[in-house]
Amino acid sequence: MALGTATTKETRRLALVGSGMAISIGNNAVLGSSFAHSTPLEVTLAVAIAGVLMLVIALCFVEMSAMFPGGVGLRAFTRAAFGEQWSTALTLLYILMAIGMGAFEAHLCYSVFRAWLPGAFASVLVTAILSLIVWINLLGFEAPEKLQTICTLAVVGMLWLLALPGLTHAPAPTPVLASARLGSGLLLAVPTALFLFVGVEWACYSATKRSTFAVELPRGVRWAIVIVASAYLPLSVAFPRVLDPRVIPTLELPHLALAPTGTAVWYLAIAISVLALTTTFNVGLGGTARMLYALAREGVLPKTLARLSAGALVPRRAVLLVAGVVLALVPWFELSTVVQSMPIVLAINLCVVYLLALCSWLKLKHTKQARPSLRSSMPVWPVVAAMAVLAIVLCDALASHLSSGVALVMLGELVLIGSVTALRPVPEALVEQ
Amino acid sequence: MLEVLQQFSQRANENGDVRRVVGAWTVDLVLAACDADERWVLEVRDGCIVSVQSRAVDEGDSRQVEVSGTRAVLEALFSGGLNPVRAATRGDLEIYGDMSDQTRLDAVALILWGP
Repeated sequence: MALGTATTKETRRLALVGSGMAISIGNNAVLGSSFAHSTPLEVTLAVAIAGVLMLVIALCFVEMSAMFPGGVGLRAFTRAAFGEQWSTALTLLYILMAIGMGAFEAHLCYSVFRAWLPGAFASVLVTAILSLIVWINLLGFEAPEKLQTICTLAVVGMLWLLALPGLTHAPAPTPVLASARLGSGLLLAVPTALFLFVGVEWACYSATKRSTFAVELPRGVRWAIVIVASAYLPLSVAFPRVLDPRVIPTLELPHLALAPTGTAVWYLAIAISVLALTTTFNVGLGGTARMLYALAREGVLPKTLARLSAGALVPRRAVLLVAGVVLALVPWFELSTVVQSMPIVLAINLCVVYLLALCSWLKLKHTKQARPSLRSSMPVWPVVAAMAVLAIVLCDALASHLSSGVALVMLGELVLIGSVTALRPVPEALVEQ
Repeated sequence: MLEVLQQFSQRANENGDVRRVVGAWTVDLVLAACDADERWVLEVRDGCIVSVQSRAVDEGDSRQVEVSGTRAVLEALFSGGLNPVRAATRGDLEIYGDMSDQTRLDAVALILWGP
């Protein structure tokens, strides 16, 4: 009985960690951006499809994390599958994606304040809050898991509360979209919806025991996906019922538009949004800095980043680097091209990362492994099916939605990743004798 | 192996930076050699390694970090011949434990043997 209780508790903890990492205020803007090219039905369908895709992806992450406990998940298993250079490039892409998401969240934090404060005050307030978060991170203070849990539940509750009136609202007439091909809107809505689930796989880093990888972690990520889907499916239905679908993509905080301005619900939504944005930023900053630190410890990045502060044991230089880059990127989000390109860029990056992660799983599955923990038990067909869907939506996103803004950002990413990977190849000799 | 661990303990306990960085760390470091079916336990109490024993693991109250690998890998790890982060990434080493405990372990290696 006690064992059963402990298992349930650990499953619940991992489910909340995973869903907490995925659910963010930025997701509402990303979900809203889908209405620019997809019908309301396609957007809702896309959220459901993305949930199923993420289930397969997350379970692959669980299996591969179990193969490399203690290693940086994505880095470890892509290295085993594709070798040093590809793994480095993919890990850097993941880090860049996290930094881009951080900048986007910080920009949205500014937008929340701007909803009820003059622009200058909002800028000062956001800078002060972000600086405070960086300082807290440097002190090594990690927000208690309980606070993160409360925050996750508060955001889910808020989204339900905001979506509820919309669900009973009569549907607005669907406008004719520019998209001519049947279902073409669905193709781009899927990777965008997949973005809503990003972070569920971070639950793998919170597994601390050997047995957890086998039992509680798979259950935890399944529940995390259910929680995320339960937050965004109602929202995807409510948005077009309450708001004009042509207007939704132009809103940076579409969820606030679901509540009448100035009401108690509106202020509550603002308060929860600020809390969620700051905790997401805090966790994201710490996690991304630790990935940079791990790469530096391996000798892939300059060793100056491989230093921990005494006492707090925080990779201070990595934290400052991430925070500096994020803060430098925030003003760029004032440009409408950047804001509009961001969901597409993130969707493309995400498809690439997850597609290659699934390829890694497939390769590791078919490589003869010496260690029992390196053997996988999951069937191949769902993974192949997920890979096929990801490949199709990725090709469609590249073929149909590659605007000059998107192309420019991706070129920048390629140049940066290519330079780091090519200029700093990891010398095998650097490794221990 | 026991000799390597004792030397490691002495070096870590005598190093002021290690003591300062790990603070009041209390944990059982459980080392498991997957190729030799052997286990060693380093008892860390208030930032000091108080005992090194070759024994089975108690499911006691102490927090545990389990480090598993071949005997050669574990020997290299505790004698400074192996970068723990790199070894975990390569799959040569399995580490089970709280993230803060893993960071402390890596910090000790970082101080004793450099980046």
